[in-house]
Amino acid sequence: MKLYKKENYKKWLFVPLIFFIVFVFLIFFHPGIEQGIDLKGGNQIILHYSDHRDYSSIASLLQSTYSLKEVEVSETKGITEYGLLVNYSVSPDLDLARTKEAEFNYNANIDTLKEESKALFQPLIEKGILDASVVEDISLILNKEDLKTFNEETLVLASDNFNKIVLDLVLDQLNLTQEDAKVQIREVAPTLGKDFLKSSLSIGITALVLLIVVVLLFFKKIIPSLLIIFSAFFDIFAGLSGMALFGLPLSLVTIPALLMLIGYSVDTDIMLTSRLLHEKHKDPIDSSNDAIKTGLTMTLTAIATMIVICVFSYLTQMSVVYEISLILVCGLVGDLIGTWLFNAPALISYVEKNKSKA
Amino acid sequence: MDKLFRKPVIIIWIILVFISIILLATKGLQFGVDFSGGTSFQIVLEQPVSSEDLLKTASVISKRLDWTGAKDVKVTPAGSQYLIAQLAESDPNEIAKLKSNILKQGRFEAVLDGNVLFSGDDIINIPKDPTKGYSLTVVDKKTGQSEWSVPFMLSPDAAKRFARMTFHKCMPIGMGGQSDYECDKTFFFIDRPVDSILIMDKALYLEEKEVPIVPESSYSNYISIDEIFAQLPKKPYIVDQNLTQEQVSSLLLDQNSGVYKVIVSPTVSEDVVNKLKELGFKVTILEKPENLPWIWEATGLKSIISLTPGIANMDVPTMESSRFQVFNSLTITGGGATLEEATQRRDELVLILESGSLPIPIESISTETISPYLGKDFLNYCLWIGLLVLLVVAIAMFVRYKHINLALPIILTCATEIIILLGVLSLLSFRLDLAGVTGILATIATGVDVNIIMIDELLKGEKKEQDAQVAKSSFISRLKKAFFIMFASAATMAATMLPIIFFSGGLGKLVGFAVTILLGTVIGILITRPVYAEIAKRNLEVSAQKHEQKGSQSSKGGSSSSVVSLSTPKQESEESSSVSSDSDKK
Repeated sequence: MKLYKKENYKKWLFVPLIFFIVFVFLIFFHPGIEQGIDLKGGNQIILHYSDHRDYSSIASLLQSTYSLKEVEVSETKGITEYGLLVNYSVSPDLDLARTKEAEFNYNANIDTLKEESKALFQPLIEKGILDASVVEDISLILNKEDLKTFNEETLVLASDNFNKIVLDLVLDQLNLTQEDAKVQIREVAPTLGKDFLKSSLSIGITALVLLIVVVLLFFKKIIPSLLIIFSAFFDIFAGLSGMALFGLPLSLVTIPALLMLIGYSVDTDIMLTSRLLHEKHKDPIDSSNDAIKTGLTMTLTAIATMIVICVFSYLTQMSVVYEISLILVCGLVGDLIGTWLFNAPALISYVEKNKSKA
Repeated sequence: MDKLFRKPVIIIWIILVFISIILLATKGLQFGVDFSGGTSFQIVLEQPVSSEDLLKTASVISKRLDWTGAKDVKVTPAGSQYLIAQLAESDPNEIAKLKSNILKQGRFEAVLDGNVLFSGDDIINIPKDPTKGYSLTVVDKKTGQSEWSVPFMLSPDAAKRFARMTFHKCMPIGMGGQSDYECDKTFFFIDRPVDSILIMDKALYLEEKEVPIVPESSYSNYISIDEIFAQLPKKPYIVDQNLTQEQVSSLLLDQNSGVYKVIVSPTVSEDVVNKLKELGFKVTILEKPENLPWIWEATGLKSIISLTPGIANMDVPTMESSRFQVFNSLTITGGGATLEEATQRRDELVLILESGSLPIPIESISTETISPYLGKDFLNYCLWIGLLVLLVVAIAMFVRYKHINLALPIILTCATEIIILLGVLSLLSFRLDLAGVTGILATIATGVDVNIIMIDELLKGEKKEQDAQVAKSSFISRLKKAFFIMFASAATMAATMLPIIFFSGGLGKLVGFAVTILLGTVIGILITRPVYAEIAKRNLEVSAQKHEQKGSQSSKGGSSSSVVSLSTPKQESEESSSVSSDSDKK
């Protein structure tokens, strides 16, 4: 059976179009893609333990006690272990204290400053995030410089204390000790997150420009090169839709995975383009029908390996590996459509038009 | 021997695999916190700094994390604004303490008789320049005994103060008017507790009555703890079961002078601690570090350096004398039993002098902590995944080509690609993390892609061209085409992965992934793909020859066709070398 026939190869172009609309809907409308804590800053605790535990009360407890804006608790189940992921935002009290402290005028009268500092930490003391002795300590401070250092250090201490409180609360609810639960803790400062986001953008843009340059250098023809780039975009959208469907956030792990997806998925497009443009004596339709065999072997092998990695890493709860491989699986499935139902028909039509001109 | 083993690329390949295995067996791989467990701090500085300042910041931070160097702390600069510190600690309490250590600005002071000779602010410059006296020389070639010296420049005011305060601080020793002196010692502190009182229990005091001048070294002179006490603004208290009446009234006097904080040794009785709290003191109980006397930790003492007679102006009668010298530029010298020890001591001293302040303040610290139990599991799982992936590739190749001669070499080249890649990572002392391993797994898959393209190009010829000569010439062109696709695909991979390395700054996670993929791609292009091309070509030819021989037996002109098949290897080897050199040029 041949996929491409003289009369009707162009009809395939509708399939990627429909998929593209679906992708756009999934990515931008529903369910959409979230930014991970890598990019927006925040805290994350991942626990691994061997038997089922009741975690239902954790989210509500955290929310009610510390009025956190965001708390997200989800369980994953591996072969031998359970995993619990807790994402939470910084305590609003702490956040407020930080903003207020940043606005302090340290030129003011020391006694006023001391009173202000005490008021600053009062809500944190009430929540049990800071020890009551902080107020006492402030009274003992003699000069403004020391007060400034003290305030800054106390804020850091408060943030560490808060993370410890959350960890203890989670462990307590699960009835686990720190030794039983294999713990992963991450804390990303919002400023670092912003930097990450900025670098990710420059990386993305540079990669795109370089990709265009490389493809143009190799094929030296604008339209076939553009088709490859479009196809790569299609794959990225497929990968992003996968992220939206499976609830993977945009993060330091998923962004390079998406970039790698480009490098990986254009292989088939390059193979196809190279055959169609270089096999001049052959009918482009025949060339495409030949190329698809090679291409399917390539992509299906890749999908098979990625599915294996994906399933195995899911079962063993290696989230980094799981996220990367899941994106690659989705992107490569998208690549089957992008390469063979978009790039190939479009390129056949381009080659035929050129031939008829000549 | 098979002529295959005479191809340069095959020989290089075998050698590289061999070297890699040796490297992996001897040097091994380094693992990041993902696998080893521990904590990684991502530190953002307020602004980008020069690479020199960044390195300086990195060494200061590594010292703040671990003064004695016992914890295997690695601080690596990334980009121009980031530092990544990794260490094997996963207890949240310890992590919080370390974090505040990083943030704290250290206050360096050189103290003599309890008075500050100069502080971190007074040091203008530490020239790392041999012509200015920065040196390290081996004195005794046999034992490796070495001497070092570190020069530093003081501000004019500090230099004057220094000269006055050190004047005649040496005592002549020895007999018969020999000009041998024993000079006073200066004490280098970071964060000397100026607003706190030390309280030490008697047992610990007796234990540390004499402490080594160089605590980490086994061979060292000793110094009385009282000499260290003399450097503190408030005299420490030695307590027994409880505070005496005298001590209480003296403490209250201290309190009246504005000192409210006490630092207490861990074995001080609870009664004492309660009494101190009752008196209105803020009590900090300081644990004793493992390989350092408590008094060093409590006072922030980092080094003890003797003055020299020259510096103390011993040969000048009075300060008013015209020969009295003020030294702007001072030099500290020292030695070590081995070159290594001397280097270590010198570097430490430079750090102490510089560590007063970070060249640039820290904006934020992010942390990532992984339990060591988890990491170990991850490593095992990754090995399993790797093997599974190879198996899946093998099955897929066999199902598609049903040709063990084509499928087996794919597995072989893929496996060796991984081995060589791991060898390179070992050579680079690269810290492998989960993302890096995923990159390695992904290179297996990309490697297979190109090999599939190659097989299909080669097979296409085998089917269609019946004539041996035509087959051979088109063989080369098809191989060239396969290599063209391979280069284009490698170039696109580089185009998407290189920006990650250039722009990532502190994005440690991204980098591991990009580095392994890029290395894998490069190794693929240069070695394993050409190797696969050679092997596949030879296998196809062997099968083609068998085919021909079968054909010649049935046909009448048997002798002529056997001539063709004899000449084949020669021609083929010429052509193949042109192909591989072609690929090398690109």
